[in-house]
Amino acid sequence: MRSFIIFLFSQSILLPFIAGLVRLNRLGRTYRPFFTLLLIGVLSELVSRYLIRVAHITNAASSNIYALLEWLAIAWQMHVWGLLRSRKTLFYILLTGVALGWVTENIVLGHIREFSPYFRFFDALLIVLFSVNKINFMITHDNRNLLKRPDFLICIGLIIYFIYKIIYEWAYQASIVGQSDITTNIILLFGYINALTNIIFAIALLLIPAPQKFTLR
Amino acid sequence: METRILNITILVSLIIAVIIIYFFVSIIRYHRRYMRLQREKIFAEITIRENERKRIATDLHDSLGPLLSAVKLNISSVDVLHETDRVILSKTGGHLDEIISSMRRISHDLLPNTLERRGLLEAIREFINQVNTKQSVNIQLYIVKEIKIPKEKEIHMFRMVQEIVHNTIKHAQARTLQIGFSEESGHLLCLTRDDGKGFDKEKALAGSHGLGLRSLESRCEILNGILTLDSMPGEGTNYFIKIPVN
Repeated sequence: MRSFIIFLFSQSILLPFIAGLVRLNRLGRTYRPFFTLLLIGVLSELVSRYLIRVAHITNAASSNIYALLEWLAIAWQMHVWGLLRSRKTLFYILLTGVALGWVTENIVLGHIREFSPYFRFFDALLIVLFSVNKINFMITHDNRNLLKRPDFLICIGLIIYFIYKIIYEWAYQASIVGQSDITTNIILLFGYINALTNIIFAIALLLIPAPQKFTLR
Repeated sequence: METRILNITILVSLIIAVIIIYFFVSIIRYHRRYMRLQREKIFAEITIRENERKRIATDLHDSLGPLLSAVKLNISSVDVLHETDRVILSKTGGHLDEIISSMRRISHDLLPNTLERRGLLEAIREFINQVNTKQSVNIQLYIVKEIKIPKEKEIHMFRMVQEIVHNTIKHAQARTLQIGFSEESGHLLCLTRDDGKGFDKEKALAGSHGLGLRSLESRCEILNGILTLDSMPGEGTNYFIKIPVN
């Protein structure tokens, strides 16, 4: 039963992905990077499943590659929403700087076949900071109901997910030394957090409004 | 290995601390920006309204006023033979006098000439004298220290005094309203006190009376001043306004 629940939670990425497919004509430029992230997530999930179940090898490499693509997609999404919009050069420097950190940790230092945490810590920190910045901007500039705004819900989801991911990565590294109840529970709880976040993302995508048509006819 | 775990633990703690600090710093920053935008919006709305009033007052005074006077002059100069025609012309002249008088009053209410020509304190004196002749409230003006305030602030201060006087007449059921002006360390101080029925400030802000109070607060904000309202049911109402004038 437990393994079935874990399996269900791991497939929860399909919820927002299907919601995105339903709202495909409404995504536009504003939400396209986020949908790309979901698509990458689904593909990563399939690749991981294949590597573990069929090829019987670790999915560390695919997971690390997914982490890089995840960073690029989310940074791109934040940029579309206004992050460093007027300072494109700074944005590209940030983007490539963090990607170079990934290259250093995984390629140069050769940790690509391990679940090395440092890039994940750093990109999680940046994603949370970007999301906090976006939410604070919306709180102070928007008079509408924020709970019906897709970008607000997505940022809430990202904050919940990546803050927990920081704690999860710590627990994972600690469990390599020696397992304890705390680290085991934190690792197991990650599945629930992942599922919750995907439900939030699915609701966010379903709330995307139809594009306004301005015509003189 | 354990050193590594310790390092990662410290790193995770630092990361979470950075997130929390950033959250607070960011929300304070955006809140300040929001307040600044709100202030600018209010300033723009009030300035547009005052400019519109000034334009209408000027049009009434400079365009309609002379035209109506010319019409009256023309009517007065018409020779009539019949008594009925004379009566009609006399009535028409009377109506024109009423229109000219009302128009002057409207123009004056929109923007008092005295404010432009002789400054804030003289305009307030004139306004209070006019109110005292028409209303039952006895308004007493005390000027402890004459003070010159910048021209662009005068209209806002005048409107605030107007609003306070109108509120007292409409709602307070007061017999006396005292208004005092003074100066202290580059600030204009204005204190008003009435012996009316007072009110619950929280309830007033929630209801329709709140619009007048909000207007007072908005104008005070534009002037970078402080407005303190002290009122309780049965204990009268006091306003204290402090505006920097340097």
